[in-house]
Amino acid sequence: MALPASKLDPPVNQLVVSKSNPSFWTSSWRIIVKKPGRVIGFIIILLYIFMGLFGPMLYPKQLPIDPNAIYAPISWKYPLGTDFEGTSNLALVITGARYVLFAAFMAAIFTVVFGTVLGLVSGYFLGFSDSVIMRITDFILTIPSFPLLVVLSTVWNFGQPVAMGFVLGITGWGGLARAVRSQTLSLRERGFIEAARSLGLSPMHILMREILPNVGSYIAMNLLLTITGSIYAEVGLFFLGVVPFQVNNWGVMLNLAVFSAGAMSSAQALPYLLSPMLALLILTLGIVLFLDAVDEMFNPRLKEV
Amino acid sequence: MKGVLIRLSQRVIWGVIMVFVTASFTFFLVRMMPGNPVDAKYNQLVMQGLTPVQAMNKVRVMYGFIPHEPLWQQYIHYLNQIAHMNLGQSISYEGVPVLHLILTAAPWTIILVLTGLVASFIVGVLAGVIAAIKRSSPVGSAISLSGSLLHGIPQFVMGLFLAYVFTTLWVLLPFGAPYNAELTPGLNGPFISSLIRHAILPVATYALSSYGGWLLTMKSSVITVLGDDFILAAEVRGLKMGTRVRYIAHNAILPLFTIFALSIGFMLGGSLFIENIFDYPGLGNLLLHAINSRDYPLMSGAFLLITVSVILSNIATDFLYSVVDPRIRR
Amino acid sequence: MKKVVFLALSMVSAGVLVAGCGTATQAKSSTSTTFTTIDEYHGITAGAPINPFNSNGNNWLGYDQMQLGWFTNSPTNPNSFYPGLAEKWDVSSNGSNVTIWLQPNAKWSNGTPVTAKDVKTSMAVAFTQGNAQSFYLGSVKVISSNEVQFSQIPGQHYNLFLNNLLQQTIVPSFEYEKLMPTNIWQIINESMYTGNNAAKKALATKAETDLTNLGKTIANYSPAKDISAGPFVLKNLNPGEALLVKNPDFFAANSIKVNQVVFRNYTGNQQIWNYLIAGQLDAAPFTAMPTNILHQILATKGNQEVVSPSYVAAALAFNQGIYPYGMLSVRRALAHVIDRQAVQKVAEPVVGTVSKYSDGMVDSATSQWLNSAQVNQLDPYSYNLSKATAELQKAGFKKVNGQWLMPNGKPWTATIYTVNGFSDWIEAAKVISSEMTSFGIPTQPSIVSSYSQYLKEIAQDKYALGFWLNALGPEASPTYLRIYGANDGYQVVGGQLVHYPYTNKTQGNWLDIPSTVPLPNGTLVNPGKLTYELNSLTSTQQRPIVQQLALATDYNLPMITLWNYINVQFVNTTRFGDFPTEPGLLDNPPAVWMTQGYVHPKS
Repeated sequence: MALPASKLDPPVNQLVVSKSNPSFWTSSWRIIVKKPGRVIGFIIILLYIFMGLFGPMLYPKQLPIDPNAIYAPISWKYPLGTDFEGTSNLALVITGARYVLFAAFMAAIFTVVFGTVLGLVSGYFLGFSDSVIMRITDFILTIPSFPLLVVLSTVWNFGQPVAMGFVLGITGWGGLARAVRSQTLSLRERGFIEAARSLGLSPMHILMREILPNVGSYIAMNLLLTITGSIYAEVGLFFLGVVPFQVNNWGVMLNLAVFSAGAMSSAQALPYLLSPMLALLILTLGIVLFLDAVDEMFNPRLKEV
Repeated sequence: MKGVLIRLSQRVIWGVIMVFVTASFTFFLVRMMPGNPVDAKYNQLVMQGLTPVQAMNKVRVMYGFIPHEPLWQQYIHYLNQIAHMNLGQSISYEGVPVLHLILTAAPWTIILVLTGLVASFIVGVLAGVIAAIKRSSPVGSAISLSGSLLHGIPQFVMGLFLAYVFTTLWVLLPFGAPYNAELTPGLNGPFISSLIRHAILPVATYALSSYGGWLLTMKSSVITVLGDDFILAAEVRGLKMGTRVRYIAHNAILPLFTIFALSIGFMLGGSLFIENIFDYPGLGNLLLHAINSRDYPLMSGAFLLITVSVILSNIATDFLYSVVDPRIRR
Repeated sequence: MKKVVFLALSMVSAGVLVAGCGTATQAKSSTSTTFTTIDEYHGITAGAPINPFNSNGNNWLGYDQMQLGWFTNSPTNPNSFYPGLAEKWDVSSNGSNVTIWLQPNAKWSNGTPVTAKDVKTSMAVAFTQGNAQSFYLGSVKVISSNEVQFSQIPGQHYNLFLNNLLQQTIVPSFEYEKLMPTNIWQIINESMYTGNNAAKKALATKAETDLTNLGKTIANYSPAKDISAGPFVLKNLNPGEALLVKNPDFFAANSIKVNQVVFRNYTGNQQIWNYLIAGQLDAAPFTAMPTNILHQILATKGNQEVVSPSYVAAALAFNQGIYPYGMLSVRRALAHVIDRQAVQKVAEPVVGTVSKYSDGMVDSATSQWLNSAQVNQLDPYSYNLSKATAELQKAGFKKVNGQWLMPNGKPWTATIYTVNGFSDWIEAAKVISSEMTSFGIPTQPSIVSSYSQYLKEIAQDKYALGFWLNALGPEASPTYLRIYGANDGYQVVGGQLVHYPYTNKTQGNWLDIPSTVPLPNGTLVNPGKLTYELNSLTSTQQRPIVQQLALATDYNLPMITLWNYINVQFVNTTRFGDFPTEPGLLDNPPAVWMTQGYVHPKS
C-alpha cells in the first residue's frame, strides 16, 4: 500500500486570518453547491451520519430471523436479500453502521488530539520535548500499522467501538503529528507570532489562539481521511476474522459471507456479500466527492481559474 | 563526506535502538495473548477421540518447545538470540527455526508487492502528470476521479472483487498456489508462465489499489511545481510545451521517490489481505497462521522482520538522500 | 477459519482426507492419471520437514506415511482393520499380546525391504512422542525379519491396544535410529517404572526427561528426501501444492492405477468449495458448507456426494456451578425452548442432522446400544414453549413484562459463548439467542477469539453456556469421556480414578455434574465411575453401562445435543471411476482405497 498522503509533510497552507471568519460557513456552503457531485457527496455523508446515530433504533435489539427465508432473493420485504438465518441484509447494514462509524469517528478524534497536541508542542517549544516527541513519532511511523493492529487485536477486547477507535488512533497519529509540527515550525517564525510573543502572551494562548486556527484547515482534512482509513482498517480486521466479533457490523458480514456463506461461489448468497461492500463503496464515493469540496475550502491553490 | 558518515552512523544507531524497542515490545505483547499452542493441539487430539491421558502424552513433544523459564529469563534469552540472528524455534511447527519459515515465505510477498508497487508507480505517476496538466479538461477530471475512486476502495474489497470475477464467475486464472507443483522450478517456460498466471490476480489487486495514491500524490506535486517561479519563467521565455512538461515532471517526481523508497520498506507487511484472499503463501499468511495457532516465536519473528525492513529502508533512503541532495549534508 | 466440523471430523479416523483426482489447474492437466485432492489435516508448508512426527510435517497418511493397518471405523469392533504394512496379525485372548507379520514384499522407496527392525525403531520413536505410552505398550520383540511381538505393560487391560498399535506410523530404521542413543530401550524400560524404590524412581524421571528431549529432536528432524513405504512418494512441493508420484517399490504397486497425486493447500473451507465447484478435486474431504454451495457442487459435472456415518455431535453445555443452570428445570426448559430443527437448518444444513436425544451419543449409536424400551424412556425434549413455561414456573421463575425473573428476583439474562471461525457454532448461537430472547430470556452470543482461549476460559468457569463437541466415538469410552471426563473433574492419576470438585479451580471441572445422578426410574448412578470402567471392558460388558449412562445423560441434561454431524465427502467421476462404497474404507484416505484396488483412471 502506498503511504497515505498524510505522511508527506504538506506545504504550509495559506494563512487563515486568526480571527474567526464569519463567512466561513457561507463560503463553504457555496463551494459545496457549486458542483452537483459535491452535493451528492454531502448528502451521502449526512445519510451515513444519520444511519450511525439512529439506525439501530429503527430495528428491535435482536434482529428477527427466519429459517424459511435463508438467502432470500431481493424483494420488497428484503430490499437487499437475507443472510444465512433469514435476517434482512438491509437491516444488518443499517444496524451495523453504528459500530463501524462510531469507532472510526473515535479513531479520528484520538488521532487528531494526539497528533495535534504533540505536533504543536513539539514544533513550538522545540528542544528536548521536540526530540522526545519526534523519536516517538518516528517509532509510530516505523511500525507497520496494519500488522500491528492484527497482533494487537488478539490481546485487546474490541467489543466497544471506543476501544477499537482508541487502538486505531494510537497507531495512526504519527503522520499528523509530524505535519502539524512542520507547519508550527514555519508559523512560529512569522511576524504575527513574533509579535504575540513580544507582547508577553502565554505560550498556551499563542498555541491555541494564534497557531491552532492556522493549522486547523489541515487538521479538518485529516479528520475526514482518518475516518475513511479507520473504517477500512476496522472492517478489514473483522473481515480477516482475527478480532472476535460480538456485534454485528460490516466487517463481520463480509467475513461470514466469504468464509461461511460461500458468497464467492454461489449467486444465491451474493447479496449478503454485496450489501456491506455496497455500504463501503457508497461511503467511499460520498467521501471522494465531498473531499473535492474540502480541498477547495482549505487549499486555495487548487482553485481553478 | 564526513558529514554523511556521521549522519549515517547516527541513523544506524537509531535503527538498532528501534529494532531493540520493537523486539521487546512484540516479545511482551504476544505473551499477553490469551491461549497457547499446546491447549489448541491437546483439544484437537481429544476431539480426534483420544482420552485425556493419551492426548496429554501426545502434546508432550510440543509442550517441550514452549519455554518455561521466568519471563525475564526468556526475554534475555530472546534478545541474545536476536543478536545472533536467530529468531528461535517455532512451536506450532515443533522446532523448525522461525528464520527458516520466514525466509521461505518472504520471497512470495516480495514478488507480489514489488511487482505491484512498480507497476502502480509507473502508471500512477504518468496518469498523475496528465491529470495535473489537463486538470481543467474532461480527460483530466476523469483520470483524477478514477484515481480517487480506486484509492478509496479498500484493498480487501478490490481483492474479493477480482477473485469473484476471475476465479468464480469466469474461471480464467488459477489461485491457491504460487505455481503448479507438477512443474520443476527453474528458468523454463512452463514454470515461469505458471508463476505469472498464479501471480496476476494478487499483483493486480495490489497495483489497482495503490495506483490511485500515486496518481493523486503526483497530481498535487505537479500542481505545486506548476506554481513555482522557474516554471513561470520558462513559460515566459517561451520554452516548448514538451520541455516544460519534462521540467515539471522532473521536479514533481522527487518527493514521490522518497515515498516509493519508504514503501519498499512497508512491502513485507503490505499484503495481508491479498495473501489471505488468494491464499498466497507469503509473510502475511504466515503471520495470520502464527496468530491463529498462538505460536509466539513465529509471531514475534514475522512481525520483527516486517518492522526491520521498514527501518532498513528508512536508513537507506536517508543515506541516499544525503548523498544525492547536498542541502542535507550541511 | 476452520469450521469446528473439521476438528470434529478428524476423529472419525485418520481417514477423513479428501482426495480429489483431477488436474492441477484445469487448463494444464499433465496426464489424465493425476489425482487431485486436499488433506484437511494440514495445509502445505514449504518450510516444514518431510517428517511424519512433526505436527506440520509434509507427509500424507496413506500416501507416503504408512501404518501397520487401517481402521474400519467400526463402532462395535475396535479390532477390525484393513491390512497396511502388516499383512496379518494375531491377538491373544485377553488382548494384551499381539503378533504381526509384515507384508512379504514391503519395501522402502529406495529399494530396501521393510523389516521387523523398522517396526521396533518406530515403536521407540513412538515412545519419544508419547504415543506408545498412551496405549500402554510394554515390550516389543523381534521374532524374525518380518514378525514382531508386542505386549501391554503387565497388569494393564486396555481394550484398544491392538487398535492403537496398528495405527502407529512406521518409519525407516536407517533414517531414525541414528537420532536415538543405542541404549534407547533401556531408557524406555527405566521410564516405565512405577514402584516405590526411590533410586529407580529418580532413574525413571530422568529417563522420561531424556525421552521428551529425544522427542523434540525427532520432531524437528528434517530428512534430506522422502523415503516412503506407501503407494506414493513426495516429489515436488511448493507452498500451495505438493506433488506425489507413484512408488514403484510399494508392495501393492500393481493395484495402484494412479500415476501421481497433487495435494492442494487450503486455509479455509471456501477454497475447497471453489475447487469443488470448478470440478478440480477428484476426491474432497468432509467440509462444512451451506446448502447453496452443496447444490452448486452437485451441479458440477462428475461431482458425487458420498455419505458415511460420523460419530460426533454438537451440544450446548451448561456450567451447573453457575446460577441458575444447576437447576434441572432450567436445563429442561431451555431444551424445550430451543428449536433444534431451526438451529440445524441454519447452522449445519448439509453435514448435520437434528439430534433426537441428548443422551451423549449420536443417534445411530443410540440405536445400536439401546433396546427399544430404553429408547422410549429417553425424553426427546421437543420444541414446546408451554412445557418450558411449566418447568420454569415449577422452579419458581416468574414472567414479568415478557421477561423471566429468576427465583432470586433478578432478571434472567444469558450469554452463549462460541469460537471465532467456527461458523456453524456461531450461527447456531445466534439462532438460539434469538429463540431465548423471544421467549423472555434476553440472550446474546459472544464469540471468543480462539479455540484455545475458549477452552481455557470455559475450564475457568467463565461461561455459563457454551458450545461443546460431544459423542466422540465410535467407541463408548471416548464418547462419554467428553462429558464425564476431565471436564467434570474426573482424571486418572497413577492408574486411579480421581474426582476433582468444582471448587478446585485448577483441575478443569467446569460441568459440575453432581457425582451421583438419578436415572428416570430413580436409581442413583455415578457417571464418572461408570465412564472410567468403560475403558477396560469388552463391548458386551460395556452394554449395560452405556445404557445407564445414556439414560442418565438424557434425563439430567448436562448438555443439550443439537445436531449430529454426518460425514459428507465428494468424489468426481469425470477422470476416475470405480470409487469404493464401503463406509469403513471411505473413512480412510483415498490412497488406502487405491491400495485396496479401487480408483481407476478413465481412458
